[in-house]
Amino acid sequence: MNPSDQCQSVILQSVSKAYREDGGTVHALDNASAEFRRGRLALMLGPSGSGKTTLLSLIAGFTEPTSGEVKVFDTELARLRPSQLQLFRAMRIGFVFQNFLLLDWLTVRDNVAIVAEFARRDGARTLAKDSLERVGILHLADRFPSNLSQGEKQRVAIARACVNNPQLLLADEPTASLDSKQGFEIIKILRSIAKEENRCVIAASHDLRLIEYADDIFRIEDGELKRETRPPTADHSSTKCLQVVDKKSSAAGQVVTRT
Amino acid sequence: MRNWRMTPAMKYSIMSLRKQPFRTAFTIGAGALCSMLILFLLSVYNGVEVGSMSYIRHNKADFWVLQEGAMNIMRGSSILLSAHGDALKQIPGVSHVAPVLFVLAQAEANGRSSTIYIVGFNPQDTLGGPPQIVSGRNIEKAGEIVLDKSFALKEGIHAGDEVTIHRETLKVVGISAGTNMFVIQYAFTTLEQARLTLGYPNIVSCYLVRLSNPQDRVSIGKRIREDVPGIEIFEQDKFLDNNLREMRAGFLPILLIVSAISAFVLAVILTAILIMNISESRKDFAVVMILGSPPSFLPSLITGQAMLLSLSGSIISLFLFFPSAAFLENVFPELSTETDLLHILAVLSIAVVIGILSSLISFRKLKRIYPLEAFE
Repeated sequence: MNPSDQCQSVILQSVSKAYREDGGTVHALDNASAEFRRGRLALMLGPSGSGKTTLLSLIAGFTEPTSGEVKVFDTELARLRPSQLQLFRAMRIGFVFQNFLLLDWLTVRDNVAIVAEFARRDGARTLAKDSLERVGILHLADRFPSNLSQGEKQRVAIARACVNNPQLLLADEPTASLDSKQGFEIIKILRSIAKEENRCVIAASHDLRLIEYADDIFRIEDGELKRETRPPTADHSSTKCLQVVDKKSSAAGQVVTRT
Repeated sequence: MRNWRMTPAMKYSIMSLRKQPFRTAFTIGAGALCSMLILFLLSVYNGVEVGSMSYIRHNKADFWVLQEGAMNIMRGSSILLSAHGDALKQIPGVSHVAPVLFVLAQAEANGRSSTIYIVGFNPQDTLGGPPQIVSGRNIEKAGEIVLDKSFALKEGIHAGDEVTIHRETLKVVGISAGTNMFVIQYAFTTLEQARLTLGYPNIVSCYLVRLSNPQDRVSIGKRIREDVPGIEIFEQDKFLDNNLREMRAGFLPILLIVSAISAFVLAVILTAILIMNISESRKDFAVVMILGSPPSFLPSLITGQAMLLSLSGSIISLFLFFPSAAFLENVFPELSTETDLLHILAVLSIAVVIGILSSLISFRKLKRIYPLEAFE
């Protein structure tokens, strides 16, 4: 790997994270190494509590590794001062959450514009308009999140994440609150962000629907990060403990378990 | 002003307050009531001061002469004899000596009896009379009386009516202003009439002395002290100060305590609302941190909320205060309020201080919010 490639990557080198809990030590992540590159959609699969969120928060610099090194586009986050880290995050990292986490007291446009303002960018509302247009929901700009469907909310969240043109997009369970149709639309948007806009997209999920769209697939289990060498769809045993809840089935009182 | 832009924190403060319209309205309403109460107490205090001190301020004597040991006419008795006045007139440099007698008495009118503070003076003197006549005229002879405006309003008395004081019927010839001490009101009669009410002739409360040349007041004052025993002499400013101090000692602490309680209540309400807003917005604030908000953003947002709530309440109180005060003065004529720009600035300053204090207290809650809560 040459140095210019490194600048395009998020690199985890022997990263471990341990917490003290109830008198004992919990190893949320154990000696994990990985590289996530721009222009690719990376998928991290793993059940709840496997360490996916810990990994995302390490990459975003919200927590520091107990050991090892996290480099985001050649910047070692641990070396940044809090104000530098805040600005780095605002300008270079976008977040998409499972429950969208839109601010319900702001309109759709302001939900997006606020992130541009955090990055101290001029014309925040115009940037918000452009970002909403990219995900096809400009017509919803003046609505409040409470008046949107789940799919529309996630599009707003993606517009918000992309308003500052970040090189890195972190998505935590981006399809978990969506039905199949909306889920696929969101996956397609995430993929096009990675491919067409040359961003690094890392999605933590237990939704197997994402697999066919992912370029790189990782699996976390009990704090151990492993790269899948071939699509797990071909190897169902590797994901047999993962569950996908189909919204329609769930509404009807059924839980569909795909193994 | 053309380049003025609202800061993002202030803009988002307004937006976040809109989320809870009832709570916001309640807090602003509570702020308005507390501010109005503070403004009302300050104005009442000022009204009482104006009403109590106008008489002394209006009667610009070079010396106020009282019985030895007496310091003021607010809460002290002073008895001097006519002989004291005669002795004062003999002092070289004294141009005029006006005797005044203060007597508390019951005035009966329209079947009711009320206490008044009678000031007996010689109508031909230029000193000792009411500061301002707002209707009718000043007294000219015995058997006439001038009543305070608020007393007349309260008792339903007009110029031309009659009041009875110690079985003497007096004709109300005029109505005065600046003569309302809140707990009691001045009334003006002749010196002889006041003496009749008191029941002792040749008695006065004080003498108002004018000098031919006020520049000589130090030497003449010394001469008076040497030649007229058993008296106290005060220059106008000193005497005014004595009375002010006496009034403040009795009245101001109560008003200050009530004002401080109002400010405290407002601070508690505001702090509670801010803490409630922070608690309910924990997740939102964690998200805002994750999205890259500067470290100062959330504290500024909370300070913005606090300032908006407290200042909005204060500004609304200014609009409500004047009609409310006018209404109360109509219902309770003895209530007299005097509001000036300083009071308004004081209320706005209190609102700013309370806003800052409340937000500073709330920051402790803010510090316990962590970005990772957004992932929970």
